[in-house]
Amino acid sequence: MSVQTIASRPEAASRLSARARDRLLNVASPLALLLVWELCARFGLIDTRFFPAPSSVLSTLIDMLHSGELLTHTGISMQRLAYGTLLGAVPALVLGIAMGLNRSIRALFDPLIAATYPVPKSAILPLALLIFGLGEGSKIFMVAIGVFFPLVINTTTGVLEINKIYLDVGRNYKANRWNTFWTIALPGALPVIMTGLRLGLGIGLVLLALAEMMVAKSGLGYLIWSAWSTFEVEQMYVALFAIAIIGILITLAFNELERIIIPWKAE
Amino acid sequence: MTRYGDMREDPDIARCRASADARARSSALQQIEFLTMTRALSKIEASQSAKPRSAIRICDLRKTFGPLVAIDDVSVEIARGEFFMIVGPSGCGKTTLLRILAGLESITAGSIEIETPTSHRPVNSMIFQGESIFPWMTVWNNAAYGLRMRSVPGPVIKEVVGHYLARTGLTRFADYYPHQLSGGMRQRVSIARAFANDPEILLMDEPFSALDAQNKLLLQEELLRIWEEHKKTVVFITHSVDEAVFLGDRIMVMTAQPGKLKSFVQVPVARPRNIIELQQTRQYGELITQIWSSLREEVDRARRQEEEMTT
Repeated sequence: MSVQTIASRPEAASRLSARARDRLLNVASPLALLLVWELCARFGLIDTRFFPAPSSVLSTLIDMLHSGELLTHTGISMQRLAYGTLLGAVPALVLGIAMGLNRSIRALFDPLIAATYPVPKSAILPLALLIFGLGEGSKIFMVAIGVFFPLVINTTTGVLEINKIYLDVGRNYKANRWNTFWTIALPGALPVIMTGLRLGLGIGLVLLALAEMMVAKSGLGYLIWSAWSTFEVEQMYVALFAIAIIGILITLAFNELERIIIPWKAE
Repeated sequence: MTRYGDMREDPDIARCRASADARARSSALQQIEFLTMTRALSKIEASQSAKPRSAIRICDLRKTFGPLVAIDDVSVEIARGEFFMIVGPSGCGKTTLLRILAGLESITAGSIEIETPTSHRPVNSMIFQGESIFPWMTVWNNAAYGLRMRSVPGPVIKEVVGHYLARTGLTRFADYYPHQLSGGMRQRVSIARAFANDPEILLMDEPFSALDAQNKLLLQEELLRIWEEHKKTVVFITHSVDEAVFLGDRIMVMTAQPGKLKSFVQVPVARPRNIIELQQTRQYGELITQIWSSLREEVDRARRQEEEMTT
């Protein structure tokens, strides 16, 4: 005969909660990388022409902040990103919801989107330049293209995935088209729409950097390109860092935004 | 009066006759549109005001989905203020019948007339099976939905919604979102939404089928209490024989597919009812037996149909 006992086990002995430990490790890994990088650069283990020491990148960053150069270029890029997002998101939302709600509209636009979506957006840049010229128009257009596709596809999917019962409720309670849009289709699809917008902004940022490198006299993409042509590697790292920061800020802003506008999403 | 199906000058001819469907002016969101006759109808009503009219008059109703006959040859009159139950085996078309009454499904043949004495009231409001309250709206906004869609003035909405949230015990939860509530509470919101809309007819499609036995009993009692206030006409679908007896004035048993009328069972139990006490009476046992004996054959037939389909 065997007896199995299930003994009570004291709480894990660690003084830190799992979450706090995760945070610590999250911060530790990039710091460790920077430290190793710095040491390697100091002791000549890596070529500082390509991998300048983090400390020298930092001093360049401070210089560029002082001269206002960094903020000017960042501001210009952010502005283009904002206009482009607006320009791409509004038609994507309207068309996406219309396609989700109406079978005929879906049948009409589906093939167009399916045919244009796989074209690498970067390949459209020369065309954008032809149409919109070298000015702001072409950059804003590229961002808009990047935002439009993921958003229109996600919005359509989001509306189609709304449980049919909610549309039945709308019909039974006599919601007109306008109300169906505002009280059912839009909020019902919002979680999926937000994911689409996130994806779109990511692609928009990529296309913006590309467009700025090719044809611009301002913006972070231009900063990277000019750093390459003048071989100022520290400056290039600073611009890359700034783009990374924009990406992180967008993610954080989205998390906050989703908490505010999708309060019903279960935690 | 609202009528589904077609209409002739002579109401007596028009009343009970196979009809073409009423999809003349259908739109994407609204497959069938109620044909609300104004002048012509008030004349007809005036000529008939002598005899008491039923709230719902279904005549020779037939509904097919392609080759499948869902409902066939159903004629029934439901009286004003009647709590009317429909019982049938699964797949017998009872939900389809309710969806037709709700205006969510078209008619293949036959006609339905719904008496609407006041024009400001919506014809019907439905309590759906399962989760039908909007997850993105608070309890309050869900309950106010029907009134808002009808552009009822704000103070009225406030009063009516406040009343029904209190009746369903949800006042404290007015600002909660559905995901913060239990299944029973969510179904209460659905009940509040339908009652607050103040329709001529309440349609209920197995509203308690997803709840556990205890919650079900509570909600059945609550539903009866709220219903006693105004005694609106109710068409209630269930597959549960005891629920039919607890709640109904009259029970219609439907056959297995195609759904036809099998029998009517009157429930001569006084109101207000106490469900627990009712369960202990001899009358209750007899009613259950009576309904079940009528239903059993159909449930067996439905099962055979299902088995044939799978093989």
